[in-house]
Amino acid sequence: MNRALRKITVIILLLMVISSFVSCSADNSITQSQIKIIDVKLTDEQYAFVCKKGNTSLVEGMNTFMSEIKSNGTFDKLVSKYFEGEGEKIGYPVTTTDVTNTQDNFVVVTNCPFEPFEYMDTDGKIYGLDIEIAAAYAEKMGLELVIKNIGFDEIFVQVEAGYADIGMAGITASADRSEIYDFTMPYYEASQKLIVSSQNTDFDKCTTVDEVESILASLENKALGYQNATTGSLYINGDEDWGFAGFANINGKSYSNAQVAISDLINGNLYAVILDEAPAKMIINTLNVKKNSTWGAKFENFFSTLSNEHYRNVFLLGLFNTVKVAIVGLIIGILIGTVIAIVKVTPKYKLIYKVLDKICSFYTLIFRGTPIVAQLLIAYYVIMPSIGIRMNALTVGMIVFGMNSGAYVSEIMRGGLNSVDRGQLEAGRALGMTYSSTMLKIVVPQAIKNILPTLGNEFISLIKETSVLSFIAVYDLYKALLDVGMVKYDSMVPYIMMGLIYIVLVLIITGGIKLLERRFAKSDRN
Amino acid sequence: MIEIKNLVKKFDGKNVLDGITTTIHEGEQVAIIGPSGSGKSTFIRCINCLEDADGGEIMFEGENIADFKVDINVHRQNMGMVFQNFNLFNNKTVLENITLAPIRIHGKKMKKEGMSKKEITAYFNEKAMSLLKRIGLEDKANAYPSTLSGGQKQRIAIIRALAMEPKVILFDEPTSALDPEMVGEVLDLMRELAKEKLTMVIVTHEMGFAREVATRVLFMNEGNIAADGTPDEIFNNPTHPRLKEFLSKIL
Repeated sequence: MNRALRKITVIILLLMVISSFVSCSADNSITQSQIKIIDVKLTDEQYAFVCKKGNTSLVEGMNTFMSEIKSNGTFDKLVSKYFEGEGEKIGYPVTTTDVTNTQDNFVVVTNCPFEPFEYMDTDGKIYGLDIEIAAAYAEKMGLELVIKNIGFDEIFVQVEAGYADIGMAGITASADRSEIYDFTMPYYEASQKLIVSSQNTDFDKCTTVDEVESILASLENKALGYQNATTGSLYINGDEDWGFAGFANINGKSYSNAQVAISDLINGNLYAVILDEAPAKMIINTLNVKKNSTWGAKFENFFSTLSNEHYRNVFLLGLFNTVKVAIVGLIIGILIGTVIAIVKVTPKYKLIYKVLDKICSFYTLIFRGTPIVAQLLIAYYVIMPSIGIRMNALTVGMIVFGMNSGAYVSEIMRGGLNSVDRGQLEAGRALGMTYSSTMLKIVVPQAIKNILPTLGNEFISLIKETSVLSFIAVYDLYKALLDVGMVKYDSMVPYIMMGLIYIVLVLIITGGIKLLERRFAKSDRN
Repeated sequence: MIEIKNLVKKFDGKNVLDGITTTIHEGEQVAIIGPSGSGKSTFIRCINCLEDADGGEIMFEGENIADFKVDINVHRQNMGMVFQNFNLFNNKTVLENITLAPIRIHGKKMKKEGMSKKEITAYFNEKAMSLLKRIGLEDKANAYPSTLSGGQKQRIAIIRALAMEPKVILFDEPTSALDPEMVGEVLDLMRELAKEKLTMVIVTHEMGFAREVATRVLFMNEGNIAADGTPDEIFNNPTHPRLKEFLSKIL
């Protein structure tokens, strides 16, 4: 344990040295290119809000409300507020826990940053045109407003599964989406635009769509970024409903949000990004203002964001959830794994054991044969809604991680049980103890002692795997730090911190395992 | 006490026990001798069903315990066993080794009679300590088996069996895994038990001990009891040719 502590101290000291070093070398700026928008409308689209197919009462309610605010001027005021900066913006809290969708609340799913439609500010509140419309609607209907900030493509599954009432995220009401979802009336005319590096002059003379597209079609081996499941992705990959031919010559790269795509463009990994016009303008304004940022400034940004109470809480929640899912997952895993392992090593005299054995083999096959992301998505978006159970995403996460871990632990445990001398079981049985009580009192404890190092390994991989929890909108360490990064459009430091925190967690676990091993080893020495 | 009728055990289709029939009476000390591979260990392990018989009957207290439908756990409580490799529970202290089964099994009944868990533990701990005193190992009560010598382990294994107050104890080559200088202390303890008229079945290679302690000796050969008699009949006046050959080799 002392050694582990020492290691952790060394890491922390190292961290402090690095951060002081980078803040000292303030002129050591990071080379990032400036970016610009090609001012040609590539598409014509209309934004609307998305509801579950058949939810006519909500669609009609929202349409009535939208007509109302359009005719009384409220809507225009909101638009000028967010597009021209006139008037006081109102921020709303974002939920970081999985609030159950009920009759009494209005659960909105959105995807930040998509300024001016929705974005998080440094005060930890969510702002934007969509958000204020949602808030006004909730107030009018007397419902409690709940806003969840999740991945853009997850918006649709969450609405479909009934985890949310409505998706409000600058969503284009396209023909193919309308087949699966119901849309409210359109409220904004939008267009996709191309964003390139300031040094890129390829499109400078373009004034029409055809000119831009002919250049795009002539590109070779160029990577172009877009956001998952957006019109931009359809534009690049082609879509019949839209009449997009697509660009087979372009190497399309899909990103979970616009900001990550832009970051990649700035870092020189992309030729261009295709993005909705309005948010593109906002991102570029923010980014081009803070040109030539240094590591020192980046670290300062990160810590100043964290000093805000909301982001500190988000960060702590993420850390807590990551640790919680891993620990609860491992405990469930050990329980399930032990049961499966015992079934596997039990002599198969009785039919019931043969049947159980088959069930356990099937279980192991399913959970070892599929990635944990698939299990999470299926559990949360397929199984839960179809059997009509409303369960907190965090709980689902813990159960799925536990069941997944159970499959792995069962094999580890089986090896452990086999490593215990058969005489131990025989001695217990010969004294008249039952099979199960001999197993639990004598064999399993010795097996656990033998497999402790391997079990520690399982825990370590478990805690790292939890970083996929954001797929079901759980705030884990990854999602929390992603949020922190979104505030100032800079994810570099949050990513570094993420890595460091995982290392520290793993070191703590390693130390804990060593301590346990020593405790268990007391029966080996005197 | 134990009536074995036509006991058959097969390994890979080969009869290791080829229809054994014998009766162990109360208060007897039966030694089982014979060349290796003759089925001695298999036979004794079949008696308390650690190996399941493939045919025949084992009548114990009026029930055929070779039958799968009989609750073997109840009968094993009355039929202790001591192993060649001691098989003390490695994860338990010496005291816990002795008290684990009594607390879990006898303690259950006592709990129904209104005793608290604490009282039950204290009762069995005290009993275990007096057993440990008897073999002079009370100072090892809280030690783990890995710190003990082979002789100490085997003596503790014997009193662990005794703690259940069984009607019979089966010994499966109890001294074969011991260093020569430790054989004596284990045999001494067994000798004491024999004097107390505890029913014992002992598979052994210690011919001197068998001759001295046993009231009856079974000579096994190729899965059968080839000779059955008093020590005097077996060791001094052997008639069976295979027994003669066996004794001439080892004596």
